[in-house]
Amino acid sequence: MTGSVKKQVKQAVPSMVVLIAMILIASLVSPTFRNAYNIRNIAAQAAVLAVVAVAQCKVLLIGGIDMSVSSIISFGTIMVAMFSQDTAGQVIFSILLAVGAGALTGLVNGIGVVKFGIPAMIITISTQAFLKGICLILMPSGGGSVNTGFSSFMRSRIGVLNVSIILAILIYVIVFAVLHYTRFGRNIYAIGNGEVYAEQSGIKTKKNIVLIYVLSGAIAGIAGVFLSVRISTGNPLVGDSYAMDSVAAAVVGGISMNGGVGSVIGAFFGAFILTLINNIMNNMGISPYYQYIAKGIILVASLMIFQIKRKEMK
Amino acid sequence: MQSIKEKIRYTNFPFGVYVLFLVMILAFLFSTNGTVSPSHLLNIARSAAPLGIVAMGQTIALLVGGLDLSVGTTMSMVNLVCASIISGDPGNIPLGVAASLGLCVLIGLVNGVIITKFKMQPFLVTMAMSIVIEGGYYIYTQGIPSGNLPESFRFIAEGWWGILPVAVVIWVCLWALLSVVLRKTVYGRKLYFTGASAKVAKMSGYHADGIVISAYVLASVLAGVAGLMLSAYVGVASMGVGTEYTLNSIAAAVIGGTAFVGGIGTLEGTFPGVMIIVVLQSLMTILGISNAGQYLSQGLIIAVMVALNQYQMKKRR
Repeated sequence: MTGSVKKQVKQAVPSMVVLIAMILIASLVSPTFRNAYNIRNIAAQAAVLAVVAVAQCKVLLIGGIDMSVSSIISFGTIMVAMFSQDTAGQVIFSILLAVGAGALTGLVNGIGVVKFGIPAMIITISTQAFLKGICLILMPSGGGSVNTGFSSFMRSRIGVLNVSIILAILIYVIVFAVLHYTRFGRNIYAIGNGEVYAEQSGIKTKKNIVLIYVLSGAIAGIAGVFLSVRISTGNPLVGDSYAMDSVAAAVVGGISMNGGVGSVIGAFFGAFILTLINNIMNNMGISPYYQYIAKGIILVASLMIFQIKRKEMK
Repeated sequence: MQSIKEKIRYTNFPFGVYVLFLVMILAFLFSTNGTVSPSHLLNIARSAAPLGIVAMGQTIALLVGGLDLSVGTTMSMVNLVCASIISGDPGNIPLGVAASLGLCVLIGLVNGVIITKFKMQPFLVTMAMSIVIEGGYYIYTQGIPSGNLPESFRFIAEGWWGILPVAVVIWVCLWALLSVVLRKTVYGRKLYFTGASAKVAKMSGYHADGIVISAYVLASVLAGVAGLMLSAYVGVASMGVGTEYTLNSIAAAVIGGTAFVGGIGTLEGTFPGVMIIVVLQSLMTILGISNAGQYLSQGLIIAVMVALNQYQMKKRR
């Protein structure tokens, strides 16, 4: 049983080494990378992806996958852009709408998986398409505006870091504690390692799985709020790339697609690695088109490496 | 009578979907107040041909227990590649078609080999592949699609033989051919068995991996043929023409009763599945919610149909 915290966190070590190596090499080679503005920019960019990755990570840990995060993020940006113009009350209301819609989508996903036995991939792709349709009805193209007070608060800096990355780190600390030091967290790892055995040892697997999907959706909604602050508008398609990127971030961070192996810390490093790759390629003046190819290859390659390594362990 | 009853009971022919299809057509006729002529319906079938062909490939991938999420971008790629190679000159058609289909074979091979040899989830591999293809065609065109297709090539989508559209004839011929392959040949039976249980298939002493790889190659090549037909339909190179075909092909296959567990499903079910989707979408275009409605219907259809399939399978056990 891979229960100990240390053993799970160990899975994140390769990604940490890669991340540190990347930062060192890039800052030695390129002066534009070193400057504080660029680093702040990377941190702000990575914040959104990091939050989505934590949502994805929990679902991957129970052996599922959540592709609907992309539409939940788009929906979140639309909610904030449509309803938050004037007062602080409206801001809170719009955030609640975004998070609530995410949780509701997660509930549908969870019930589809548990009650109807639909593969996680399929039900989340369907809810992704459905929610995208709703987004397109609400806002056929980008528009609306985000409350300026709210966005300047989220962008304001404490030290080098702005508020959104600090909130992201806070989410990570909470999720880390929940996953590794509570009964709920233990249950998640148990379900990921073998749902049948978990059920037999008295864990209410169905309830836990639904809860995980709900939480994942809600956190994706928060990511949508973060993203709306970054782009200052709502957009029905802006979240599209995040489904794939969040899976990639988690996988690069050493979380197994089969469930039960890995720690959220890995997802954090993974999110930064992906953001850094984009940033470095932009700095080097490589056409953004190559980033598609780089992303696809990194995902498959890191999956292969972990797959081979874990096979050897057994 | 008894024997016919028995036969119907144990056949895998999807009667339910055909009933649904008839209901859809009646609904379509009523909602348009009977202004739709049979030739209009044939026209709808003509525009459905690319989806019909790619959905057959998707069905084969699903039959071996896999899933191919790269078919949509494969179609986009074929459109850009063949249009830029042919660029209006009928003499270049063989080269353009060969290059496009050659790339498709390569894509299918890579998909299949990575999935079988490294035991990775098919959806991840094919999705990563779809990102790579997307990047590839952006680099190839530098973001500016160029090229067009000559009249002689566009005949496969625009032409009519008497009262029958050429596209529909090609589609039905491919369907008949593949249906015979799946039902009557050893290879077809192996496809079903491999999907039903890869482990048992391996124990029975044939190369299950080879069958799976061939299924992905078939799926890719059929996507390529669909891409060629779509290009003939569109007539010019255009960015991302195939994007919506990935989910639509999956939806068509699952409406037709193909299961995600592998080994269950028929091409006879996929045909009405395709028609249902296309009729539904032209209905939505009439209602004026084509773009958003497409996503709504995709999501709803896939979720509901898979839930129904799962429920039926549970009952049968």
